Amino acid sequence: MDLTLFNKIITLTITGVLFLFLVMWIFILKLRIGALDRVVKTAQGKVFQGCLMIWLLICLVGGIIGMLLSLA
Amino acid sequence: MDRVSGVIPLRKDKVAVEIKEEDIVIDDNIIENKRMDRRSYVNQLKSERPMLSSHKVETFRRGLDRFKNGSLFSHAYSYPSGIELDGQESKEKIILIFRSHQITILPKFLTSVLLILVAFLVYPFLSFVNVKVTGVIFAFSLLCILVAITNIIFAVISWFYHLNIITTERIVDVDFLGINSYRVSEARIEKIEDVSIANAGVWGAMFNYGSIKIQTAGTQVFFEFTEIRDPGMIQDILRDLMELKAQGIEVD
Repeated sequence: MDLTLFNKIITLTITGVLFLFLVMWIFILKLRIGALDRVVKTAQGKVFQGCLMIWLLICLVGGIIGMLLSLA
Repeated sequence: MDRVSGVIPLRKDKVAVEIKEEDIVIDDNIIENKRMDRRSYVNQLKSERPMLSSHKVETFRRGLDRFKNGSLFSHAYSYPSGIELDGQESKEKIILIFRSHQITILPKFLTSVLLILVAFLVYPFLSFVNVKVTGVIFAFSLLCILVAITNIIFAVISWFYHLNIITTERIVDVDFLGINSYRVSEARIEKIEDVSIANAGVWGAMFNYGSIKIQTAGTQVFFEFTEIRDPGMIQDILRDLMELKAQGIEVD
């Protein structure tokens, strides 16, 4: 068994799961703001959701870069 | 019984006080003792009651005016624009929103700053102990920075949506609970029985914040607004509103 390859798979899995957890956290936060904004409509609600979507994309790209870096 | 109804305009665009005879308790013994006719007694009550009401309305107004220059990101904001409650009645108006002191998000903010510092300081530390910096270290530094920034965003948004709202008809408490749940509690102003405040220890004394406990007559005994800045002022506003409501005075 190639131990280096095994190490890389383990590292990739761990970093992947952690980044996925981060992305899920942001997505849940976005969903929660959407739900709260239906109860208390604020002028900032949509702006928050938009900003969170942008941040979510940034974290997704960051996650892919992070996973690639972990392989390097 | 003669019907007595008067409209006393206090601030033409804002407040009007309506006095109705059915709200006035007429004691026949007093009329007899004072040797005055019923009409004179009612007129006397009419003249006394508006004085009391207008003084109370003015006190209530002054309390709210302290927060009128706020914004949606302030700890308290009277007569807010750009905010609407689900199920808000047409005559119901939001008169005050308030939330926790901004200082209460400082611990989360500091934790995030610490995490970012760790992400940057790990490289000099590793070179100091002669450990080779690998891609994994870079990946975890990146993760630390992203988690730290997300934590700040989460703290700010949680603070923003942890709203306590006083309308002309009810009080509403919006709470974030756990990961993906929230709770919205409300009570009619008429149902409030007692409003008490409590200081929040040393930090509360330093930064003037504390909790407000509201006891209601319904099944939900307590509303608790925690870490509220200027709790005494909010308590005064709520008490004035309760008294005005008890007198049958509508504030808009």
